[in-house]
Amino acid sequence: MSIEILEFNNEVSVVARKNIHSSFHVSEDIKNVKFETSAPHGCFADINGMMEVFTSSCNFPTGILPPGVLAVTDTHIVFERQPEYKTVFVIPKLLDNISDPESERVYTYQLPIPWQLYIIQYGNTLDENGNTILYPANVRLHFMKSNLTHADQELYMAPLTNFYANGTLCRPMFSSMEEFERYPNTIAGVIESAYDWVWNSGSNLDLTICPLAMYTQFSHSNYYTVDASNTIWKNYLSIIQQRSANYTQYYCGFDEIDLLYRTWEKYSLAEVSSFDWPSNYITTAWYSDAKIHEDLYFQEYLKTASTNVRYEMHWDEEEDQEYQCEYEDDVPLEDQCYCLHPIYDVDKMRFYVDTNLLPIKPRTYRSTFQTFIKETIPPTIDYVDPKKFHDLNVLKILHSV
Amino acid sequence: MNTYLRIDAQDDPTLSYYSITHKRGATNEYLQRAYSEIRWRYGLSENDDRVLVQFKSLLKNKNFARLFGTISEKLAMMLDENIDSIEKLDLSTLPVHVELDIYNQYEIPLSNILEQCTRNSKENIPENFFPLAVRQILPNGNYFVERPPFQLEVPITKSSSVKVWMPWTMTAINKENRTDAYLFFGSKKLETADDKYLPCVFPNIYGSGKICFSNSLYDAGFDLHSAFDLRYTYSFLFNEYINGGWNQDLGSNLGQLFWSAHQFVNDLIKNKSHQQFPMIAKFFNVTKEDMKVSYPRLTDKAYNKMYDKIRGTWAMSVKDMYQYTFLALSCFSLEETLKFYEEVSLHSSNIARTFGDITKDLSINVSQTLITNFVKQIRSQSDISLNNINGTINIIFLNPQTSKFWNSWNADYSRDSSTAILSSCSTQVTHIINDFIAKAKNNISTNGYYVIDESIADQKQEIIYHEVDNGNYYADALKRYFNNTSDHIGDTDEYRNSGIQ
Repeated sequence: MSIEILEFNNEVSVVARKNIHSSFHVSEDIKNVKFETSAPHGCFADINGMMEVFTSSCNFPTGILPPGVLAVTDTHIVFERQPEYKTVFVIPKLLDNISDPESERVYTYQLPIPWQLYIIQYGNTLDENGNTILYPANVRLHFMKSNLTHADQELYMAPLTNFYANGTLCRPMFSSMEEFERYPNTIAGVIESAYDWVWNSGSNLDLTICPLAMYTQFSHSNYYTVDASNTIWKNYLSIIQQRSANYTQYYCGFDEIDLLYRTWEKYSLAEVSSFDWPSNYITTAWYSDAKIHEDLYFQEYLKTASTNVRYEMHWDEEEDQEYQCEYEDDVPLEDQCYCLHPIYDVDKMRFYVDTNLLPIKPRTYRSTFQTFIKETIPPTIDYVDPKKFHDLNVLKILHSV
Repeated sequence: MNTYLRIDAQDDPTLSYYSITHKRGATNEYLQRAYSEIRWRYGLSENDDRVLVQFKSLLKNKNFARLFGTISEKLAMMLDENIDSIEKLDLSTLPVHVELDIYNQYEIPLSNILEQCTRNSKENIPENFFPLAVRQILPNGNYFVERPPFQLEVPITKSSSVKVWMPWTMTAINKENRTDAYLFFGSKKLETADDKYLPCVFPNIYGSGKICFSNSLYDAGFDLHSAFDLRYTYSFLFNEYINGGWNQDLGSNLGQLFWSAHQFVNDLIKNKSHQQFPMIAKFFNVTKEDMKVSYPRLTDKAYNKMYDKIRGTWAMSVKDMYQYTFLALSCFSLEETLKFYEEVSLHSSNIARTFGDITKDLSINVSQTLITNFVKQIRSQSDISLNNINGTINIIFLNPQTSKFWNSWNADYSRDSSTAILSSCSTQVTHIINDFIAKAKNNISTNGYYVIDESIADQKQEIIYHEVDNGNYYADALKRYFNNTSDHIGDTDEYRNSGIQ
C-alpha cells in the first residue's frame, strides 16, 4: 500500500496504490487529493485518516488560555467560571435617553454569581497585511449549579440586564476601534474580550427580558405551580405578589431590577449556586417562543379544546350591517384581510400549559448550543462547482423495468 | 418502464464527495445542493421528483448509510427525519434510482475536503470537554494541560512509602500521537510565556520532558484509535504515569539537577548560598530528625550513608538519587516544595525552560505528526501489506518524530551540547541530507520507517529542508540517525514496514 502526495505546478495530489511499498509525502500547499486503489478497504481507511488528519480542533493561535476552557473549535469557544462576586453596572435609562454615559448616574451591585458557562461564537478576518484577526461575534452566558460535566446538563438563565432570553448578550457599543482591538489576537484574547463584554461594559434598560423572567416564571400560579422556595425570591415572594409591579410582557422597570439586584446581593455564593434560576427561552424572547409554539400546535389543540370561533367583521355603514371580505383562493390566509382571520376564544395561557410550553423547562448545554449555532452561522451553499467535474464523468445509465 | 440510474464512484467524484460529507454531518442545505446537482447532472427536469438516491457511507464501509427519498415532495420530510425512518419509505414508489457506489477511485479537491472538515467542526457541538485547565493549544494538535499541586505517595522500599508534593504540572498531549506526552514541573500557575518549567524530575522522563510509558499503558486498555477525547486521554496518561510504576530508567533530569547543584553543594559546605536558595540548601541538608518524621524507619547508618553520597554527588546511583530526593522532598511542605522548584529553575538554568520555548519546540513537525497518524491508519487495516515492494528504487524517508529516534536524541544529549553540534553542521545541511540519501539507498540493514519513490526525491528533500528551517534540530538528528541507525531503531516491530531489504 502506498500513499503519496505529489506536488506538480502548485497542485498536490495524493495517490494511494495497493501492492506498492509504503510511501507518503505531504506538503503544506495541497490543492487536490487523488486516491487510486483497487482495494476499497484501504482506500476508505485512508480517506478517513486523511480527514482526521486535516480536521483540527482549532487552527488559530490560542495564546495562554485561562483555566476553565472546555472546548475550542474553529468557530466557538466554551468556557466556565466558578462562583464569584461580580460588579454589575446599570444606567437606569433606555439607550436613546442616554446622551452622555459619563455624566449619567450609574447604579452598582455586588452580586454573588453561581457557576457560569460562556459560549462564544467568534469570527476571523484578515487585516490589510494579511494577518488573521480574531474577534468575538456573539456571547452567551448561562448559570449552572455545578461545573459542566456532560452535554445534557441543565443550564439556567442569567437574569441580568442586556441579555436576550436565550442567553445571548446584546453586544456592547464601542466608542473607538481601539477599544475593540486592544485584546491579544488569539483565542485567549477573544475570551478576555467576551468576558469584558459581559461584565465590564455596563448595562441599561434597553433589554430587561431576563430580569423580567424572574417575575414571570414564578408568578403564573393561576395556571401552574412553580416552587419558588429555592429561588432568590424565597423571602420576598409576598412582596412581589403584593406590590404593583411595573412590568409588561416585554419589559420591567428599574424598580423591579433594583429590587432584584438588592435582594440578590444579600445571598452568599453557596446559596446562589444552589438556586433554581429561571430557564432560558429558545428564542430571544418569550413571545417569540410562544409564536413558534402556536404555529406548531395551536391548530391541533383547537381540535380537542372547546372553543368559539368568531371574526372581527367590517361594518357597512350604508347597509348598517356587518360584512366580511371575499376569500381569495390564490392568496395565503396571512395575506388576506384581517376579517377573514378566525379568532378563537381560547385561554392562551391554558393552551401553553396544556401543550407543555409552560412552565418553562431548563435547557441543556446541547440544546442551547444547537440553537446558538443555527442563529449565528449562516448556511453556506457554495461548495462545489459541478462544471468542474463535468469532464470526469462517465455516466452509466441503465434501463430497467 | 421506468428509468433506472446507476452511478459508480469512479464516474461521479462529486457525488462521492457529497457522500463523505453527508456521513460527517452535512447540513440540510448541503444535501439539498447534492440533490440539485444530481438533477442537473442527469438531466432531470425540475418536476421530476421521483428519484431515489442511495448514499453508501465512505467512512464506514461495513455500515452503508442509506438515504432514500424523492427530490421535492419528500425531501423536506426526509431531511428532517432520521435515516431510519427514511428507509421505511416505500421504495416501489420510487422508480428512478440513482445509486452511488463509491468503492473505487475518485478525485476530490482537497480544499473542499478541508473546507468541509472545517465546516463540520463548526456544526458539531463540542461535547468532549477539556480537562481542568487547558492552557494552550498548538495547531499541530498539542494540548497543554495544567494541574494544581497534589500529594503523592511514593514507595521508598517494597514495604514503605513517603508522601511528597507534586508541584504545578503542565502536561503536553498530542492529538495525533497520543502517547507522545510530556510532563513539566512548575512552581506556580502559568501566567506568562516566560514562566519557567522543569522537565519532571521524577523517574521515566526523558530530558525533553517526554514521558516514557511502560507497557502497562496498553495493558490497561489505552485506545489509540478511538475518537480523540482530551479529558480521557489526559486522565489516562497522567494516571498511568503516576500509578503505572516507575523504574530506575531515565534519571537524567534528576541527575542534571544534582550535577548542576554540585557547585552549590560545595558552596553549601562552605556556608554560602543559603540566603539566595534556601530551599535548595534545605534539600541538600535535611536533618535526620526531619527525615525521621516522614520516614520513621530511617536508621542513623542509612542517613549517614546517604549524606556521604550527597557530598560526592556524581558518584550516586540513580536509585540513590531518587531515594534521597523522595525522602528529602517528603520533609517539605507544599509551599517549600514550590519554592524549591522555583529555586531549581533559577539555579539550574541548563534544565529549566520557559513555557514559550517549550511550546515553540513542540510546535514543529506538523507534517511529521501527520505522517505518524497516517501510518497508524494504514496499520489498522489488516489486509494491507506494507512489505510488498515491486521493483521501485527506494529511499528512506526519515521520520524524526518517531519516538525511539526522538527519545534517543533527547536522552543522550543535553540541549546545550546538541545546539553546539548543530551549529557546526547547520551550514552543511544540504550536504548532510544528500549524503544521507545517497548512503541510505545502499543501506540494506535499515528498518526504514517510510519509503518514497526516487522520482519524488526532490519533494522529499524539500520536506527535510522545511523541517530543518523550522527546528534546526533535524540536521543533527539526521546525522546521528544515519551514523548510528542500529542504535536508534530499537524495536523492529515498531512499524511493520521493513523498508529496504
